Amino acid sequence: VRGPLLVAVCAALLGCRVQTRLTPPVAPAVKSTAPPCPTLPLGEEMEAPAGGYPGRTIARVCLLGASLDTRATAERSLQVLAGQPVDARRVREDLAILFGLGRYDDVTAYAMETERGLLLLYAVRERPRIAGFELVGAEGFVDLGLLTPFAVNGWLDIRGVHALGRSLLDRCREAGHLECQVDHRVVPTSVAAGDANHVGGSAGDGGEHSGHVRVEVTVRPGPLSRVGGVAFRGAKHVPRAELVAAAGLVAGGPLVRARLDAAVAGVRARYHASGRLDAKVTLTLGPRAADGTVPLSFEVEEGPVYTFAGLHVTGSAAGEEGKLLGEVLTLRVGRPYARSAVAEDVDRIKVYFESRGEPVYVTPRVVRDAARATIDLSFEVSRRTP
Amino acid sequence: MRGRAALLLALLLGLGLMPETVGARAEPRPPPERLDGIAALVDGVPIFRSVLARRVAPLLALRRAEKPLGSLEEMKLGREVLEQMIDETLIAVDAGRIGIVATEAELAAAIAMVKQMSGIDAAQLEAEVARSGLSFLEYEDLLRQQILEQKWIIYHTSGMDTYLFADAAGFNEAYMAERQRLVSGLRERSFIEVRW
Repeated sequence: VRGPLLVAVCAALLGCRVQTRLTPPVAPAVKSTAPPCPTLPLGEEMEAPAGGYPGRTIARVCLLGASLDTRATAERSLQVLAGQPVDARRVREDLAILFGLGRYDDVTAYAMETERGLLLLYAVRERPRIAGFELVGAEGFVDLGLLTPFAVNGWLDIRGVHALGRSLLDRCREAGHLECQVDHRVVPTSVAAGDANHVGGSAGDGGEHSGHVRVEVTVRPGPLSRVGGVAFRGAKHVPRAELVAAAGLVAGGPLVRARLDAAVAGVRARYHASGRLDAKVTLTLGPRAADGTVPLSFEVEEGPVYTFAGLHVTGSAAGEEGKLLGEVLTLRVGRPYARSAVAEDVDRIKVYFESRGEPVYVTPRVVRDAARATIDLSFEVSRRTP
Repeated sequence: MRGRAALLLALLLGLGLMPETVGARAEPRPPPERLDGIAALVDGVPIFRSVLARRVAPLLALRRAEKPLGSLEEMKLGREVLEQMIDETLIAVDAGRIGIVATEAELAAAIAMVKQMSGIDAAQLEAEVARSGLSFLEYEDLLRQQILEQKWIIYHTSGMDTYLFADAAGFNEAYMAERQRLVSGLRERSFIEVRW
């Protein structure tokens, strides 16, 4: 009796279209015995015991916090089902899947005892949708590709805001704006732009996406700075031209903090390469002139030149040490350390053994004596499977 | 309209079709227990609480064997391990970007080296790992991470004469300093959210 009655009520009260031929339901509707799902917020929560619920059968799996927009996809993605035992690894995989959908900012799994069995709850927090996006002061710095995630009514991934901010800051500083600042604001809005028909929220479980937000990104470049005069104080044993080349700074070019760090490393490496392993290099920036130029001063403590106090061949080639040191290698005891010379001798040992069909690994190992400024160098040789 | 809705409601109840959240009798609700969740996000890569707990467990057991730990100390240890896992994730993501991987051959070689250095066979190693509270798969993951990290540091320090520090203490110091410098650089550029 109920079937035709429903149709009649539907037609009379709700204006449903009544089909001329009605198909009865395939199976009669039965009341579920599964425990009901709770609603958000869950209130007080506790940490599950260390062992979890091993072997306990799940009476029902509930997805909480998902709106109608995302619920169906999320539920289809879950692999842990009612009737299965609790498995921490599979629950974690479900959380990873839910998070990987890109619609949720947070995902958490809970277990909850009820009179009708154990509930497995997946609680999600939806990302807000973007109602508007504003970029101020970014002329000349913006990478258009990074604006793609900010389409109106798209889901806001805060990582996109961070990536955009980072890119703008990099480009702004790369252009010579040493004090460049990039700020962003994510402001909740009550109305979605151009989204009057948007359906939000779901019945009963507190599932409602977090509303709409407006994203504002502002760039404040600050003054432009350029490389002014470059001085090397305390540099006596390396020609200025070589130090300028090692620093890699161009007079009049944009002053970029990252390049200054690289310049210091370059000058230090130049000294290390010629055996001055204790060389210390620091950089001081002078006051910015009216034309934007900033004088740079490298303070150099050159230190002594290290020399070789001993040379050895160890490992699988130890038996041929005499021949290698005398005929194959070019380094000599008493001579200054040079990085390139060590690298070349490493290659010579490899070629020597490879020409005999015996590929080898060669690892230089040293003992430094800072007081005497000497190096005791061993080439450790080990056979390599071809 | 209200009358129509009431009639439809009565009909649905008669058919047993009401949503359970509406029709269910209120049951006393015990507090839910958290099984798992996100402890931290590193550039969108989640570190799950359950994985963190597995990493902390052997260390906790070791420390507890020495002396009883307060909850604050346990939390501090957990936070230290989480920071370490954040660094590992940063390194893994950067290594992936560059194309550095820890191969199965390298893993096998590392396991062989551990056995050789410790003078134990495969069964003894498995027993040792189990005793620490880790599964062998988790142990292999840790080794993979170490291999990856070493390759990643070597990649980034190709211009540095690491052999100049080959006396063990000096090398370790230089290695850790370089790791710290590189990881700081990654942290500066990354979006890290700790929720633990």
